Amino acid sequence: MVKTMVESLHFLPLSEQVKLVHNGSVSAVENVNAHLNMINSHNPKLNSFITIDSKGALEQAKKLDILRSKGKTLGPLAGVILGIKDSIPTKDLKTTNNSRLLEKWIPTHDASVIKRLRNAGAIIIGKTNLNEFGWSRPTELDLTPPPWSPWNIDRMSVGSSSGSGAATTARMVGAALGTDGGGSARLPAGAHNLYSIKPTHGLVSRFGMDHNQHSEISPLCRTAMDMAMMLEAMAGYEPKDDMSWPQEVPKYTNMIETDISGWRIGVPYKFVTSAPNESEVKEAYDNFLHILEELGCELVEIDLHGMLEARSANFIVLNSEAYQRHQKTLSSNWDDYGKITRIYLLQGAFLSANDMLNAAEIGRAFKIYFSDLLLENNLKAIATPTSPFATAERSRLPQEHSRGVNACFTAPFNISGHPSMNLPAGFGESDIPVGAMLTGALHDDISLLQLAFAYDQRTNWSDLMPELSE
Amino acid sequence: MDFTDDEKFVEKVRSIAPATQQDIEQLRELLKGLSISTELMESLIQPFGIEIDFSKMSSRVDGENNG
Repeated sequence: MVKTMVESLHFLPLSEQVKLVHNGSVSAVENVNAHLNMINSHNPKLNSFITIDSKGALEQAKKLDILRSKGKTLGPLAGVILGIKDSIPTKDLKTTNNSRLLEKWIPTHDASVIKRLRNAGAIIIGKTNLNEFGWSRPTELDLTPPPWSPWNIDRMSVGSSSGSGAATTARMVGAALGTDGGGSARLPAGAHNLYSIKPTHGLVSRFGMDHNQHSEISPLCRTAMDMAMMLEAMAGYEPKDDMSWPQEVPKYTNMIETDISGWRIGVPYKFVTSAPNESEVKEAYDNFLHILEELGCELVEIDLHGMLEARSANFIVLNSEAYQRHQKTLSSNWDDYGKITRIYLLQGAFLSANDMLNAAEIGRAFKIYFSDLLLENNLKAIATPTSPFATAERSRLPQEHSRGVNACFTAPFNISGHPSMNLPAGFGESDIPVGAMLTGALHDDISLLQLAFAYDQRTNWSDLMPELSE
Repeated sequence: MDFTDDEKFVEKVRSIAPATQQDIEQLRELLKGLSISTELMESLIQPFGIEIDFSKMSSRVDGENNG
């Protein structure tokens, strides 16, 4: 019985794995080994990881098992196996950003969010693949070539948190961290049949990472409950971080189950249908709305303005910040950057301070406009697709990528700071998953989690897993 | 944002990094998109004392406004 359980441990949601570690049915070491077996079997093909830390993960697990044997209280994520996007610094564990520039960088510190996760008992098993510096279009010439989708091994995983999406989907980890500056966690979550929340700006501190005003650290998870557990552990005030909110984190996991009937959800149909949505996206979105209605939500058609303007503002800020960080090394280490990455990074050199300030002002105005829109219409959230495209190939076409159309639904809510979440919504004709998105009011992340939980209970998306051949 | 003067543009790029001609051409293409964004931002900034009104902004993904 126990053997069967251990063999199938990695198939269970993170929330179930924690229970088994807590009650002693399995040890943390057994959980690490179950996931390492999956990594050894599937990562060579999927390329989800840049660095695998088997030794470190087993050491972390042994410490947890000793604590448990001594009757100590274990943390809420005890024994959970995590992959961390390789742009998030981890102490004594290489953090390359998938760039030759940082190929050998071993941070001497953990980012604030990593400290929180470790304190909650989570075990970091490795660093996941990403577009170089989370910014460029991936190519086979990258330090670590792009990951492939577990849902269709012939298709690249969507980024930039591509490895986090692929690793979570393939059960190589219980969950993973990504970062989302314009959709970089929600988009891969959508393309991997996962849940991911970009939390309200300031809820999860970026302290210990590079400065970025509108990129949020986001969990990529298989179930809504997993997402709530992760966010609960990640969130919290960080006094050294001037963007961190001094507020107590609600017990999301205790509050997640609620009756959502009667909740009003805004549907910006005119805006959504103006996007170049692929047919699979349209079908999945309509089905998503139908399920929300079945759950008792009231769908309210709304006019949504200024999404292009807000996306453009976010684009300017992202470019400006990216150049600011790389200005020295672009000059001194030009050849260490990928050929596409360095051109993308250089764009910001041609922006003025006034361009940046204009974009920031437009961003602030959009934030107020969108908050008012929710309030005046008494909406819990608005519903949109996550991406107009069901395929990474199309979103990566240079003309689509440079125009940012793939981020037309996601990026506006980076500059506004509103919480925004991908939910699984179906599959396209190439077996690539399609996501749908809910975006809610500032500091009302709990309502999104509650909607996700009700939706997850009603649908079977989170029970599905790809067929992986060894 | 100005990259229309070819000589000054190339001079600026080369002052930052040892970019090849191909790099410069790719950058020029990318900057066309960024330039559209910065011009859009400039056009939205209002005179002193007037609020930016998002309800009058675009309603479509391509930036058009159908009301």
